[in-house]
Amino acid sequence: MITIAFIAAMFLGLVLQHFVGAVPGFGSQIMLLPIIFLCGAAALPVWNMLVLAFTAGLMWDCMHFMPVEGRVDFPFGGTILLYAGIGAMMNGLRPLYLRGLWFIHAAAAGVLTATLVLVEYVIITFRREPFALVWPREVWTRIGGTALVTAFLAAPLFLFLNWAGRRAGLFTSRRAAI
Amino acid sequence: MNRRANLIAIGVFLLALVLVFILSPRNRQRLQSAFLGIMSPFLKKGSQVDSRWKEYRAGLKKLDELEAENKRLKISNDEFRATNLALRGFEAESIRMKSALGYQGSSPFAVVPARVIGRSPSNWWSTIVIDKGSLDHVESGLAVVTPDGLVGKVMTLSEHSATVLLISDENCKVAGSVAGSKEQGIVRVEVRGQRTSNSIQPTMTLNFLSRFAPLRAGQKILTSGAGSVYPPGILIGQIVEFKSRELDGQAVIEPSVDIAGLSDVFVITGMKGAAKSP
Repeated sequence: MITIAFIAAMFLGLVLQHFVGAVPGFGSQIMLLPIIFLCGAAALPVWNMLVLAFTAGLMWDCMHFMPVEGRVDFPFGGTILLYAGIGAMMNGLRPLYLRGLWFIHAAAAGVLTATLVLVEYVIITFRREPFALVWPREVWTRIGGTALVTAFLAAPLFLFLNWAGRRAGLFTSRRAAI
Repeated sequence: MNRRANLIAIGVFLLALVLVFILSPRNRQRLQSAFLGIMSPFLKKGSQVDSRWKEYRAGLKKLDELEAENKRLKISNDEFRATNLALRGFEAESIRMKSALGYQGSSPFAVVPARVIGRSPSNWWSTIVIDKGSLDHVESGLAVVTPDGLVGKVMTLSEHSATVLLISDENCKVAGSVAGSKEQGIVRVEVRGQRTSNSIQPTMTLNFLSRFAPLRAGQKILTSGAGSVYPPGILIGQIVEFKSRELDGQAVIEPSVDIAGLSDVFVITGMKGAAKSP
């Protein structure tokens, strides 16, 4: 049930992401889909995290996979693997989340989302110009901006989820029962 | 037990992933189309809310100005302010629609008017979602324009919506020619330092020109029609600067369309009077 709620939230996050635009000054897009996914990855067991990773990656690829003149920037399904990667890292920090150290996960969400954007960039650049990695300052500003904004937005979400989990008796001291 | 369950989960996940990787192009397109179909009602609703919110904010700004004026003239009146705000909203909408209808009538192309209902939420791709799809005779590969010039081309389709690849995306290359000259080349986004420019006006270049082409700032760049994706004669932008390089010439172009401010666009479905699409 909670997995379905997270999938619905990720879908709505993706819709909302179409309207919130970029952060003024940084040019970074506000990545709501990864934030919600990473919340799920921190709060839920491996099974559910993989379901979320599959759904999030598939949704993203459905919107962004575009073969141009027979060439693609990113293989269809590639984003699923990326989400599973960052989800696994966040899921590895789950024991700390269950102990109430939500702020570690807020920072990790920033770092992991920035990693997602960075890996996307590297793959796109490699596919477009294999031996000419372009690293203008704007790329770093955008990736750094993504990390900061994500951590900032993720903090209240992680705090709330942690609080709600405890109130609902879903978290015990060391183990989760969601 | 827990470890075993995790291993099974990973196995199922990898299997599903392989199935996605080996999807045939046709099934992949179906999947994308179906997902875009699910998204489009939400995007349409979101677009309506977004435009109302923008109107409201613009209204608030105007309200400040009106209040200052009303204080000075001592004719402040709540009802007047509310009515004025509402009328301003309608006026802006009316001007926009008149302009759209004007273009539809005067354009030499058969066009389908569409509204932008979403912008790409990605850092690295430049796309928009429009509220017209296959049921509105929109097809993949058709050119998308505004009265100011070229916007991009249709990529993914659902019944009632479509994704448009913008000319500000590095993947969108357009065969262009310089008005009043025989020079032709390929228009694309300047890569160095610009791969990230999906939220600002991009710097575009017309490449593969003659090294000593007599080009000057202000000359217009039009689609040449080569490659048959874009009909010839659509304005792309104007030359800002011409650089003579080692092997060829390159013109830096300022796009004629305000990519960041797109709200209404037109999909070119063919020439007026022609039976088939280009």
